[in-house]
Parts: sequence; structure tokens; C-alpha cells
Amino acid sequence: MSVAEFVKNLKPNNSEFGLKSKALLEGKDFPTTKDEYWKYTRLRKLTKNEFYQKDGSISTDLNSIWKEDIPNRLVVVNGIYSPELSKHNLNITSGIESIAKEIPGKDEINSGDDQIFSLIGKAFAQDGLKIDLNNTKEWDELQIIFVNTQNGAIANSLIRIKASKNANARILCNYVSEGAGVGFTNSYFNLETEANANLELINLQAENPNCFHVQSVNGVQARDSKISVWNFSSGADLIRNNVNIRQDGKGCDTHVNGLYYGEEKQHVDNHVFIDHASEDCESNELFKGVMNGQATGVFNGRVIVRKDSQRINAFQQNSNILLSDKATINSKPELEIYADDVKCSHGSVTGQLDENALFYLKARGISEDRARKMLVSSFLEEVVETLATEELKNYVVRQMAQKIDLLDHE
Amino acid sequence: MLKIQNLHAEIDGKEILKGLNLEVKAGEVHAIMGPNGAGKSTLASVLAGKEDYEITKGSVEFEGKDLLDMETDERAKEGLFLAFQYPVEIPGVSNINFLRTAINEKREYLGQEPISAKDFMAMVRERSKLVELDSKLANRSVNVGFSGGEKKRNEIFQMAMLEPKLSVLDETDSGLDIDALRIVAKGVNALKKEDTASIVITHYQRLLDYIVPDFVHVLYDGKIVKSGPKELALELEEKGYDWIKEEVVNH
Repeated sequence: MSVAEFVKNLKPNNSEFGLKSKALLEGKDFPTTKDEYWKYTRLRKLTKNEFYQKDGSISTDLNSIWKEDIPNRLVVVNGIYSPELSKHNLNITSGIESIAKEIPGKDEINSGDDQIFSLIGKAFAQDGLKIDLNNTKEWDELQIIFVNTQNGAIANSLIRIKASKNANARILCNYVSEGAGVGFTNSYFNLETEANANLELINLQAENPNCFHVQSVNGVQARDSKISVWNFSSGADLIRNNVNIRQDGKGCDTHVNGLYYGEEKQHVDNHVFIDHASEDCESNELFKGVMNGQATGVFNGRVIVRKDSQRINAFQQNSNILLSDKATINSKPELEIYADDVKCSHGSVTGQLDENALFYLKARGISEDRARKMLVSSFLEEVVETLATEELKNYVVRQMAQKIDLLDHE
Repeated sequence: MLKIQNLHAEIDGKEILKGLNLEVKAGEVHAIMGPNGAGKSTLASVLAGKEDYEITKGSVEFEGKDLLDMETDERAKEGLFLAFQYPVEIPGVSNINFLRTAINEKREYLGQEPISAKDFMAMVRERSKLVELDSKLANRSVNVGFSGGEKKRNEIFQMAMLEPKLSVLDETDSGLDIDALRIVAKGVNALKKEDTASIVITHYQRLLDYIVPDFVHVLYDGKIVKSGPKELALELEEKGYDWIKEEVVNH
């Protein structure tokens, strides 16, 4: 299907990068399952819909979503920043012009797989956010709630985040939806960490089951910096996450973790690309999924270690549980190693709930339902445990449990 | 308390239990002995409700109720406990959380209030001492990283926590050295009450030196072929099982 047909109702933003992006989309079609990085993800259920740019006004009560102890709060409705619903004391500016000079950023990472959606976002976004983080003494914490009002809304959000030298920041992003009909959230993040900065981005995707979400996180790291990204996916009919990180300086550390749950015909796809472009760096990926009903999960973990990138440690693990005979998982590690002093490992395991453990719990008087919850939760716990604080772990489990009946929580 | 009549059970079309009869009354300890493959562990699994087995004939009454009609968890809530021959490791589920959930589900089933955190912890401390189980193990994932002996002691610890009416100990002595055996037996004996009963399934007589049975039954080819007082166990230890087999064949 042609991109032109998909964007026919959308108005371009006329920024320089917007027009450039729009020009690059001319004559393009959406990728199909013949394209390597879309082999397991059919876009038809997304692209067959008509989408419109919509204004932002919401009726959802966000109080149950805010994490109380985070002082800085932003709300973005259908891709448009809402100053009246936001409060913060950080260095944040909004508007397409705010990011005009910095997106696509000095070096867009060419992962080759998610370009179409990034280009659509850049061409048709109605707003943008530029977040500069420079707190070198303590952690800056920020929560952003992205609301999609459905009824055919397309929410293109463009977010540029820069953590300056020695800065520490944690950004929690919640994706929710309200209303009827379909909604499409197309989010694009451009991350940059300067030397020794530490940036965490935690995404909670909890939209309604008739929403679609494509997310591209592109990060470039300077020396001795750390980027950690988490994708917690428990909603939407189709989710495609791309996390592309390039380590440009020595001594970088990158963590990309995810936890996903799908039921009915949900489709959750995580593509991670780590480009070890410098030496003495490390990357860690841990993705765990539980698939129920006829849901499909996809994990593709691509790691490149460039020719002169010596002393690299790259670890990758993907584990899945299938709760039904009709659920599927496609898991694929891709390691391309051109340096010789490198430690890389990857593992992929897909199985069912341990019947012996289930029987053991039941034999102690625990109901089948509860026993399943205990086992699913304990399986997923490993990912939750990688979060920094106990409050955050509890918060994430609580939020996910609202969507996943199978999650055990206090 | 327990009445098994003409019980037939099969797995994958193969009949394992072939008309088993057994009656256990409150306050009694029954030992079930027998050669490998006689159906000892099948009996334990069938009583606990493992779904791999199909009951083709017979009945099991537990405290006047139809046991075979109950789900596995319901049987436990009614007061049946199976000490597993091979306790299962469950990574990520803490012993404590697991036991509190089990106790509270049982209490809810019986119309009782949940146990308070304070009472629960006091109970954990007291009952883990009974089987000399390091209370630190209580905080670890269920059976993960436990030694063979610790796993078996953990079974008895769980039994002590859940206070069952009828305990079925499935080859609890297997893989235990003599010290561990003594500790496990001490725990079982301490839990013995007038209104509870136990079925001790074992291949060897040595466990019965420590847990003294009121009755000994020999299970052979899916049936109980001989029953007697505790001395029968000694006779089996001395003469093996072959004479029983011959007796059955010649019968």
C-alpha cells in the first residue's frame, strides 16, 4: 500500500525537515513481510484505516496514571503538547520550530527498518518537544502522558531529549487512549547523551485494543554515557517498537529491556538495534513476553560490533511463554561482529507454563487462576527488577496489571 | 477419614492401579510399601488430583466427600497434603509469598479471616525450627537452590504450616541421608494428632524405624496384596518382595 494514500488526509508541517521528509516519502510503499525487518509484522490492519490530525482535548482523568512522586509532568494529546495540563521546572520548549535544528539530529541512525514511520512523523507532526536535561547533582525525573483520543486520530509525536555532560535523568512515558474507533500513535524519540550522562526512558504502552502504536527511539551516545530504555507493552492491537542506539564514544553502556503481553489477536513487535561504533562498550538486552489467545510476539535483536570496536560485551536474552496453542512468537538474534576482542552472547527460549509448578501450587491449595498469575508474574519479574527503584517497580506492575488480568500484584 | 474402593487408574491407556482398596481412620499411620512400578507414586498423584491420570473405576471418599470430584486445590483446602517425591523448583515465587497465599486461600475457603502478617511470621519461625530449616530459606524462591534434604524438609515445613488432616508422604525418604531422615521423621511425628492421619509411601523399611506405622500394606501390580502390623515391614526388609510376588502368582 502506498504511503501517499495513507497520509492523504494529513497536512504537512512545512518545517524544513518536514518538507524534506515528505519529499523522501514520495512514491514509497509501506514495507511488507517480504522486507527483512517486517517479516513477521503485517501492517495491513493499521494501514487500511483512515487517520486524521486532531486537536487535543481530553476527558480522561489522569490522576490514576500520574506517579505521585515525580514533580515534572507533561501531557501530550494527539501529538500536541498541552501546557494547561502540564507543570514542570525543566528546560523544555515546544513547537515544531523548537526542534527544527535538532531533528533529525546530527547523525540519524540508519537502521533501515523504521524509516517510513519516522518520516511520516517528521513530515506530519503538528508539534514537537525539546527537552534539555542538565542536572548533574541528582536525578531529574519527568513523566509524560501521551493521550490518543481515537476516532481516527493520528498522534505524531516528535521528542528530542538531550542529556548534557554528567546529567542524570529518568523519563517515564505513558501511552493511553480514550474514545471509540481507531487511533494511531506514531512516536519518535531522538536521544542524545553527552559524556558521562545517564538517561533512562521508560515506556508504558497501555492503549485500547483498537489502537496502533509505532515507536522509534533513536539514541546516540558520547563517551562513558549510559542509555537505558524499557518498553512495557500491554495494550494496542499492533505495537512495533524500534530502539536504535549508537555508541559513538568509548566506555558506553546501553540497556534495552522489554516486557510484553498479548491476547486475542494482538501483535507486539520489538526490534532493537545496537551499533557498537566505539570501543570498551557494553550492551544488555532482556526481553520477556507472555502470549495468550491468538496473539503474536516478535523480537529481533540486532547487534553490530564495528571493526575497530574492541573489548565489547554484548548480551541479549529473549524468553517467552505461550499460554495458548494459537499464540506465536518469532524471536531472532542477529549478531554482526567485525572486531576480534568481543564477548557476545544471545539466548532465546520459548515454552509453556510449567505444568509441574502449576500442579505443585495447586496441590498446596492455591486455585488454578491464582497459580497461573503467580507463575506469569514470577516469569516477568526479572524485567521489572531491572528498574531503578522499588517505587518504580511497584508503579509499573500496578499500571500493567490494569491491562493484564494475569499479573499478580499487591 | 479416607476410603478407597476398587480404584482403577490409567495413564496413556496403560492401567496402573487395578482395583485398590484402602481405609484410613483418624489417628492412624499407614505405610504403603512395594517394589518399583507397583503403582505407589501413581496412588499419591491420583489422590492429589494430577490430571495425567484417568480414573476408570472405583471411588475415593475423603471425610465423607467424593475426593475424585474435587479440583486439586480443593482437595488441599479440604485438608489433604501431598509431600512430593520430587519437590518442584519455582523461580521467582518466594516460599513466604507462596505459603501465605496457600494459607489464606484455605482460610477463605473455610470462611475464616486471612492470617495477620505478624501471626504468619511467628508461625514461620516456629515451624521452620521443627524441621531445622534455616528461616532464610523461607525468603528464597520455592525450592530453588535447595539441597535434596532441604527440599524434603521444606515439604514437611509446608505440611506443618498448612496443618492438613491427611498427609501423603511420597517416598519422602528417597535421597536422604540418615540425619536428614531423622529430622524429617521428627517433624512428621511432632505433627501427629488424634484427628489427623498419614499415609507413608516408601520402598525401604528404614523410614519406618522413625515413623512407626499402625499398618503396613504391600502394593503390587496396582493392588494391595497384603496388609499387616508394623512387623510386616521388617519381614519385607529381610526377605525382599519376591516372596510376595510368588504368593500373588500362586494364589
